Amino acid sequence: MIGRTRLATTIAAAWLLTGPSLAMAQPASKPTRFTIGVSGGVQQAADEVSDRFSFDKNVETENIDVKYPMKPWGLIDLAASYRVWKNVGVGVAVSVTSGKGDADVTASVPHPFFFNQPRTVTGTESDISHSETGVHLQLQYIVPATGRLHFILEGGPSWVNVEHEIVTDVTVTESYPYDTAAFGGAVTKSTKASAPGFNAGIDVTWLFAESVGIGGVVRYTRADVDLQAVEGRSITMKAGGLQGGIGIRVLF
Amino acid sequence: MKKESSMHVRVRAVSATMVAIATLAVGLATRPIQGQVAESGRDRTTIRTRTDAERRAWTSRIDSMLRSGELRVRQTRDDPMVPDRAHERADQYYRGVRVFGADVARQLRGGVTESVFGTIYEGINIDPSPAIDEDRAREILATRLGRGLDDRIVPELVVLPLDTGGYALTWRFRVVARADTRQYFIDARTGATRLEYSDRKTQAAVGRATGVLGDSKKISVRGASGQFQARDDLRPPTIETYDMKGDPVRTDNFLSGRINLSSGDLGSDSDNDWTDGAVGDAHIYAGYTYDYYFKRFGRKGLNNADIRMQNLVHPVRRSDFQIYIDDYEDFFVNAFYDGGGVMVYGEGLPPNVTVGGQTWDFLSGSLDVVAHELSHGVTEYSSNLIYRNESGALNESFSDIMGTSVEFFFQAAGNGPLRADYLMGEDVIRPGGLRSMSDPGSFGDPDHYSKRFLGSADNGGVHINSGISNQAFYLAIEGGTNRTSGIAVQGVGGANREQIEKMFYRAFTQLMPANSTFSVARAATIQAARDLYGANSAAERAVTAAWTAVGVN
Repeated sequence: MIGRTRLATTIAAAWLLTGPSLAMAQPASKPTRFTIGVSGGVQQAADEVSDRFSFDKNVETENIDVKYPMKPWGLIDLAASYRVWKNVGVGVAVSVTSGKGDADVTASVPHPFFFNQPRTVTGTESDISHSETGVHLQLQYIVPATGRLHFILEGGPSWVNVEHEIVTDVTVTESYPYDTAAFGGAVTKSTKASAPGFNAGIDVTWLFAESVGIGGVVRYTRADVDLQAVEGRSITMKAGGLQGGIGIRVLF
Repeated sequence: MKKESSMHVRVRAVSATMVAIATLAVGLATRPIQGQVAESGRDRTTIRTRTDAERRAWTSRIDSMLRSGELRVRQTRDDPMVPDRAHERADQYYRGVRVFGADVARQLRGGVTESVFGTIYEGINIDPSPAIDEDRAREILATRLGRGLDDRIVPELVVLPLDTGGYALTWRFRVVARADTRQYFIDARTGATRLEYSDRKTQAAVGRATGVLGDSKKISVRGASGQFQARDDLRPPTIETYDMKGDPVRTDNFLSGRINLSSGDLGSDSDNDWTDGAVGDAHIYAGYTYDYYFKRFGRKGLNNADIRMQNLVHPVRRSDFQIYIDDYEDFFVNAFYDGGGVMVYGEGLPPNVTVGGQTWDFLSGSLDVVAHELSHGVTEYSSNLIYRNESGALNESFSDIMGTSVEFFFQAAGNGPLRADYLMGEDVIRPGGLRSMSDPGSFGDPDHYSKRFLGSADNGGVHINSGISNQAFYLAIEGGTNRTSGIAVQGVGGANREQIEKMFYRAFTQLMPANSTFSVARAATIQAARDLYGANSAAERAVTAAWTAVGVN
């Protein structure tokens, strides 16, 4: 939520500072056919992911709950568009985001000597890696340019690949008489999966030279990705989110 | 690191002085050296040097292999037991790839080879370049296992000597899972699994046991070679339960010190779902008793130093009742502490045989019986109350008191099986058990000092007069009126039973001498009450009144 607010503020500020005044001050430029852009920015934190799994332990069931709080990640976005006819174009964008976060782990560990006397251990496994690569195909509406300012409204299907570190087991520190136990760490494995989704957004460019400008992109993309954990168990992660970036645009 | 460096220097120095012999070794490398054993089907050489000639020859051979890179030193260590000795371990490599299971252990004295043992494989002739890379091998194994592999599992490319002869270039994985730890060897050319085996050594395990009374409990055992043995590796002391398999002579021989028992005599189970109630209960209840003493009093086992506890069950078979009852009565209808941490639990009686209208089940099936016997061990290593007359009765009483206390610690209060009460052995000697602390007279035992047994039987009535102090303990907790004196006692109440338990434990293990009398026990428990809860505390008043009620002053 914080990421989204900051992003919106940044885009709005860019618009207020550069858009209206410059647009009115410049004559209309000639239509361009290709646009290539590269942006850096941030992707909104995805929804928190929860996972619950069990093991046989001490002839009972050990339950492990894991929460992966999501943080805004850094974003790199590469985009290219081609005006096909009048104000209609097609485009493709590749967004890459990655970072590290924490996993909050809670385990209910059966007692080795007695039934129904589980010990609860909690802990945090840090540096859980997460990365997403999205390929976004876009049908675009190119708003007629007003001076140096160019707008593109775009949307279409996406293909999102997620690579995420998953907690697969918990190590517990315990000693006689085993009435209490402490979190010793988590065993993790890296898993990846892909899924189709969608995207919709707007790309704004302000030309400071004839074919080169600075631009900003705001895009919302979403795909539900099933990450395979172990032994047929999967975790559904809502990948994507609101993306925003600022960078260079080349029009020709 | 410093030590390893100096060892390398020493090895090289030895090599330099052995140039002449090294020349000879070139020839030796191609023909058998004395001290090597060739096995059929593979060029495997087992090294065990026994003569100076063998030592010299192998020293040269090893130095030569070290220079050529066929052997690489893995470890060098100074000998912690013998001065001026060091030990060097080296692995065999074939064109840069380690040969699995091929290594040499060389003992050096002052830099000179003292002994060599090892295994070397000869005649390896395979391509050391893997056709399947590490990632592909990982995928193959993951597919085979039906799950992904932890990223931290790093495979090793090794030459695997095959059991059928020949060699294979393989990726070796060691996969740790909850169920097992296994070694996998994936052929680096075909992707086939060339070898796999369990790499999990003996370990503590938790199983499920059905007790004598049909109840289900957890049991702490040892897993070894696909079997589970009644040896508790989770608690600080070693707790072992031996199945004597109905052999009274063997049991007697062990108790007499004529034979020792081995791990093969331990109770065992193939699937860790234990169904022999006598084995399971003896083992589990011994653990419970240890837990009670540790949690209640901070005591570490019988001798407070985690002495080993050995339970013996099935000393006879019930079906041999007619044969052995005269010679081995205790093995049927008794449980006893034999000293040194050894307990024996009787087999009970055949279902159609009763004593005084009572049936006898496996005696280890009653928690208070097991705790009673183990508490004799506590007495042995503390006050060592002499087992006759009043001190003997106090010895027995302390075991009854602790046996009952353990029951209340682990079981809910109430009547019937697996319930905590003031009867002794009622779960397996049915109906009613052997003794009552709340009403000793119901079993013919005295509840008052004036009624004490003064004969010589039963070591001066150790199992009889225990009723006097048992009644005092009961009254101090639960309160009530002694039937003989009619004196009423205000007990501390069941919720505060811990106070009375601690007082009696303190008095009987720390304050009382070996030849204590009931009067000494009274004074010691009152002293313990003052020590723990202050003068004129409710606990002191309760125990003082209780002793008075049973006629001990």
